[in-house]
This record gives sequence, structure tokens and C-alpha cells, in this order.
Amino acid sequence: MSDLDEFKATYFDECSELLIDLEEQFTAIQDGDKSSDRMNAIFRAIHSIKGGAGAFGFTSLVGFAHEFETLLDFVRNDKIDFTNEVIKLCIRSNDLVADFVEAARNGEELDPEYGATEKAKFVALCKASSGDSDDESGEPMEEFDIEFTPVLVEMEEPTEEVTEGWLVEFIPFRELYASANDPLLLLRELAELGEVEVKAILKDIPLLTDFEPFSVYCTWEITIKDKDIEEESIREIFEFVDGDCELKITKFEMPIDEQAFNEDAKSEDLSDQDLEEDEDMPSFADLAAEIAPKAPPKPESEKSVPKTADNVAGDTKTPPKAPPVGMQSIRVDLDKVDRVVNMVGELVITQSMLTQQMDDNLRHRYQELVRGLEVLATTTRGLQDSVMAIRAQPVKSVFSRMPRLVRELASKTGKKIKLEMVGENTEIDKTVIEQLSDPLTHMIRNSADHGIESVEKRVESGKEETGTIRLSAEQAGGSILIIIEDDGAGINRERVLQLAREKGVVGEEQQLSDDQIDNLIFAPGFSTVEEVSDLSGRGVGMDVVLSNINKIGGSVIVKSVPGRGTRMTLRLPLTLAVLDVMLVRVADCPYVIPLSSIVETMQCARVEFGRLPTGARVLKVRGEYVQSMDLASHFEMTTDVNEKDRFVVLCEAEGTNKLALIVDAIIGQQQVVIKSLEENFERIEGIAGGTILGDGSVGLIVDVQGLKNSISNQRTAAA
Amino acid sequence: MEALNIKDDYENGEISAENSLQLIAFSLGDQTYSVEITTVREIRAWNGATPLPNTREFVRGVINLRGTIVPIFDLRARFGDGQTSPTKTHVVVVMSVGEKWVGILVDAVSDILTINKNDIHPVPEGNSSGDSELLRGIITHNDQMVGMIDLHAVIDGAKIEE
Repeated sequence: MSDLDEFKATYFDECSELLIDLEEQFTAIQDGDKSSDRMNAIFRAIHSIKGGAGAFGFTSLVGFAHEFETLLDFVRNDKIDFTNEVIKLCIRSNDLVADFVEAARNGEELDPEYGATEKAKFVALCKASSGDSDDESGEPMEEFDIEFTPVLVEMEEPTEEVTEGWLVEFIPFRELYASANDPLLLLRELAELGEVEVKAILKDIPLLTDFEPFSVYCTWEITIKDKDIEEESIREIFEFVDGDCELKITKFEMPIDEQAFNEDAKSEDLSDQDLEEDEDMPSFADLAAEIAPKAPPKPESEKSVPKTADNVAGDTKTPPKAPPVGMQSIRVDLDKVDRVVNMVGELVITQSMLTQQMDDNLRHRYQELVRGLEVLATTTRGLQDSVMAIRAQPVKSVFSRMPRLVRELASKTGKKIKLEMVGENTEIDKTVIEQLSDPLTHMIRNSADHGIESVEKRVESGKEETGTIRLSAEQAGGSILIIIEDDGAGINRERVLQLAREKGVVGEEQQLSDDQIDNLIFAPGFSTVEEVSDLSGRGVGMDVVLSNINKIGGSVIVKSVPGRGTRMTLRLPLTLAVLDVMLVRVADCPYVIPLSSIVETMQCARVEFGRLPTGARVLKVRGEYVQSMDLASHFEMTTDVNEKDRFVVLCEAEGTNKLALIVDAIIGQQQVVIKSLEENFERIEGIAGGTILGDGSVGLIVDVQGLKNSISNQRTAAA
Repeated sequence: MEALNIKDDYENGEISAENSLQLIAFSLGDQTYSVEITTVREIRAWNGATPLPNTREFVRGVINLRGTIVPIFDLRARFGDGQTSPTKTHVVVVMSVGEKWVGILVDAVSDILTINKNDIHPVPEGNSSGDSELLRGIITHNDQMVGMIDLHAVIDGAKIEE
């Protein structure tokens, strides 16, 4: 990787963080918080994206971001009213910026017309508010269907008269910054006296090679168009820089048209400086001035928390809002962290192996050793927790993509959908978060597409026009719960069952409980929508969601109340690094089964099996018939263990769907580190991965869901 | 195991540096095969492997190589001569193939050969057993035929397709 590539990678990392932040700010603004802190935060973020893009030559991104920034600048300086229409435009533009960044990241070029409509709107808005001194002023921008009121900066009526005023030439010495002075502050103060026009003289700016970052190369000519101001009050402003600059103050008279010609419009001038800061020194100071005195943007997650969620919010980790005085953080390559996590995982396992080796005899003889091992156990646990905390990330990084998704879904379906998010600060291991994005996107799509009804239907059934999708995250013991709720129509059980029968997922005579029917939407090859819709039906059903979630050791449960809505609960492990498993033996080979999927274990001698006409064996357990699978014969291995001495491990696959695995022996419970088989080999059906056992040999992790699916596949193949 | 005769090759002085190629030779029954020395990562004694389900018979399973899971291929079985019954004296040659690390189970490592690239003969085509596809070339060493293994071909098709 070349240096430039590395910088680029860092830039895109930063972009993703900034986009997440932007999304958060806009969500808050949408909820009615239009404080200037937010506007400034947004402005800064867009500005940073633009700056980096310029450095890497992403011209289309720069172009768009620049126009967007101009608009934002007008908004934050109250030159444009922040009406709902403008907010909408901003949010839409924010999405476009994300698209541009994505395109740049993938090295793609977007259509040159991409975002042109929005750009045109920016220009129109800005023109309307800044160009008020010329003819366009006050002209309503009919061609754009945006409601806005051009806010006029207070200014004199253009007259034919000669204007009198002051011309201030401000020529700071190079060392101005050294005495902690900032030209921008002075200019702002001047602006408070009356109408000002500021012109920066840039001719003294040297070549970049000779450029001293802490020197001032600009000089300014400031015109104050108010003859009534005392020279004294102007001098007062510059009192602090006395001795650091040359100051010439002269009274002048000037015809109005020349004045208008001279400087386009005072308002535009200040903002121009902000924008052209790449070449323009003062704007660095400007930016610094912007950033420094402002309080950091308050994390806004709580604002969007509905009252009912108090208990949920209480569980989530919301750090106290202390202002970050100098960020106490470092950027570390994820690979390095992963290496530490893996090693700590190994350490935990070695430690538990050592502890297991201690029998009573040894315990008695080597008491010091026992004590040492106990301390080691505590320390390794602590180490593991701390290391996991390093890699933990708030789910926000995934959640933040959802508002945009919902907006797009709403506009495509013509439905009105509101997204509520709770507990975005809940932290999960980064590896889990990475796996979460696709399933979550799919489930939200599903909710928006199938769950929420059209406006007419909602009104008909006496609901609010706007449907709500609620996305929440909370920690519950050793797992994380992610809940996606909608107040839509709920699952149409009749239709689901009918379709499932048509597709052979469920037998004609089979009777199912409501819960079982609800969970049918996760069955492989099942989709309630016959026509592939653009949104959710991409030939990928909810079964893929389920298998993705299962892959990371999680589970999904769906609950639906007809007419009131659907709730899907994802239960995810806190980490993927260490897995609690049951170690079993099949034909002399060690296998491990994730503890999270085991319901119970039984001796074969004590259970009852039945046989289906197909030859498949079913286990009868507490009045329920569960499909059983002999792991040895499924894996085509031979075992000489007597049938009666074998064990049944009852596993839970999807939701309430169970599978009974028959193994030779149960060895015990332990923690293992998941190792990839694909790294050096390839994926094997029924095996989720491997792990290193205490004796150094490799154990294989049983993929319960995969096994269950393979049975279903066989059945469909046979049918 | 024969004495290594690396020195002999160098002392001949006939092989120029840019044309030379070093191979590790190993025996499988009375046959000798070889792989490029640069691909070999490690040679270790056979110490068992965990069998993998749903794979062809030449996949002996996986081993733990310092925390990484590495698959082991039985070269004899790959050539269609039935599975090796490995003992402690059998050897696993761990090699890198592209991004992946794989091990092949052989009877013994016999030699390090330095050969001239120009001395590599093409593999005669039309071998009905398909074994020829597993070789990249043939060289002659001490009047003995030494096949150069095509690793990509050897590890291909390990899974049983449904």
C-alpha cells in the first residue's frame, strides 16, 4: 500500500465517522433542535469532507460539497431561514454527499448530472439571500418549489445618493497570530458597528514552499458605510492589535453604483472567505475561531427516545457529556487489536485448561499453585474484558445508516414512515457490528415494505398517517438485543401459511401455532411477495437474514399482532472472539456445539424415537416431535459406540425450530476461540468453523442452522 | 533417507544463478516428487489431524499450526493410490498456495535439488488416469524421474459437491 493509499484509507475512515455524525445532527435538527452548535458541527463536517476530497482530487465530491457548504454557511449565519423545506434539502444533500464519498471510495465516477438539481437549489437559495442589492433581490424564486423567505440583511435602500463612510486599511504584521490575535474577530466586531464590506488583499501570499503557517500574509480593506460612526470607535476595535499592525482610517465618499460594483454583497464576502480557505489564510483562523469557543455537540440520542423507552435507555451506556478537552484517543489499526483479542482468547482458554487440570490431590499438595491459578483466572478475565472494550463500538455506526434507508423507502413506496432509534450508544464488538449491517437493512426494508401500510389503509384502520419503525438496542446479560418494531399490519398469517403450503415448506396437514407461522418467514425459499419488488424482494429472503445472524451466534424471534404490528428481536453475542460451547465426540472426532443453541442434552437410552415413513427419525420430547440427526452418519463417519450409550443434544435452530443431534459422547463445556476454516480451506456444509482445543488438536464447530437447512433442502429436492 | 547431495549440484558449477531453481523432493512409495523450495513454509512430522466431513478422501483433515487451522492433503490418495496409513515417520510439508497455507502428507522428504529451469520437461499428455494434470513438469535427477507438483491442481476439488 502506498502512502497515498494509506492517507486515502484514513480519509475514508474519517468520512464514515463524519457522515455518522452528520446523520445524528440532522436527526436532531429534524426533531426541532436548530441550535447553532448543530449547524456549526454540520458545517465543519462537510467542510472536512470537502477539504480531504480536494487533496485527493475527487472533483465531483468537492464541487457538490462546496455548494452544499455555501448553503450551510448561509443557514448558520441566519441568512437563510431554516425552514422544513431547507432541512429536507439539506438532508437529501447529506445523502448525496454520502453517495459521492462512496463513489470516490470505490473509484467510480457518478453521473455528472448527479446532484445537479440540489446544486441548483443551493445556488438559487444563496443568490436569493445574498444578491439582495441587485435586481434579483426580493424576487421570489418561483421556479423552485421550495418555500423560503429570503431574509434580507439589513441594509440601506439603494439610492442615487453618494454614500459616505470609512475606509479602514488593516495591514497586520506577519507576527499577528503570535500575540493571539485573530483578524476574523476584529472584522466581526467591525461588522457590528454597521454595514461593512471586507476585501482581502492576497497579493503578498508567497509560494507554498515559502509559506509560514503562523504568519499573516493577507491585508484587508474594510469599507464601513456609515458616516455617523466615530473614528474613535473604529480605533477602539483595533486597540488590541495596536503595535501588531498598520492601520489607516480614512473618510470617503463614493457613489452607490460603484459601491455595489466594488463588492458584490457584504454578506457574500464573509462567506467567500470561509469557502476559499484553501488559498486564503484568514479562513484557517476563521475555522479555528469557529471550533474553539463552541461547546461540543451534545450527543443527541436521548432526544429521540420516546417516553416508553426509559427503562431501555437506562440500560444503555450513555457516557457523561463532559466536553472532550483534547481527545484522549488514538487511532489503532484494527488488525493490531484483533491480534491482541485473539491472543487474549487463547490465554483465557489455556487458563481454563490449566484450572481443569487441578484435581483434589494436586490442590491439596500445591496450595500456592492453586492460589496463583486463581489470581491468573481473575487477571485473564479482567484482561479479556478490557480488550473486548477496546474493540467495542456503539451500534450507532450501523444505526446511523438506517434513517437514510427509511427516507428512501418512504419516498419509493409513497408511505409515511418515521424511524425512532433508541440506545444507539449500546456497545457491541466491532466484528458483530460488521455482520449486523446487512441483516438489519433487510429487516428494516421488510418492515417498511410489508409491515407499514399505505397512508389510506392506515387512516382506514384508524391509525396515524405516519407509520413508525422503532429500532432499539440494549444489553441483556451476555447478549445484545436489537429490536425492530413497526406499527404496521402485522404478519398476514393466513397468507403466510397458504404460501408455505404451496411452496412445500409446510405439509398440507401440518398444524402450526401462530408463533410457528410467524417464524415461517425465515424458512428458506420463502417470501410473501410473489412479485419481486425493488425494495425487499431481491430474491433474498429473510432466511438469509437468519443465517447471517446465526453465523455470528445470534438468533431471531419474530412476534406479530395482526393489525398492530410486528416485532423482530435479534439476540446477538457480545463478542465473537470467545464462544461458550459444549464439547462432544462423534466417531472419535471432537466437535463443539455453541451453547447458545443448545436447549438440553439427554441420554439416548432414556428417550423415545419415532420413525417417519421417509425413514427419518424423530425424537419425542415432552409431547413434541423433533427431527433428529445422527451426526456420525450425516458426516459419513462410522462409530462403534452402542446406540444406548450415545447422547442427544437438543438444539434450537431458528426461533422455535428444533433439531436433535445424536453424538457419541458429551465431554464438557468450555470456551473456545473461533478460527476460520475458509482462511486456508473452504467452507464446509454443516461446519461453522474450527477451534483449537486444550490438547492442541482442532475441534470443529457444528453449524446447527446449516444442518437444519440441509435437511430442508433434501426434503425439497426429494419433493 | 539418502544423504543430501546439495553440494554436488553446486560443485558442478553448470547452473547459472538466474536459471537455477531449488526444489524440495519427497518420496511417495518408490516415486519422487518435488515442489519449489520457496513455497515451503515448514516441514513437520505427522501428528494426526481432525477429519473434515463432506470432503473427498484425499483431504485428511485439519491441523493446528500455531493457532491457524491448516488443511492436510494426502498426496497418495490424491494420486488415486488409496489413503496413506500415516505413522510418526510420515511427514507433512506445509506450503503456501496463493494466500492459503496447506499441508501435504508424504512418506518422507528426501532431498533438496538445484536444477536448471531449461531441464524441466513437459508432462506427456493423454494419461488416462488424469494424474498428469497434477504435475507441472518432469525433471531427471540421478537418472530418476521427479515430478513437479502443481499445487493448485492438487488442492482443487476437495469438497464433495452435492
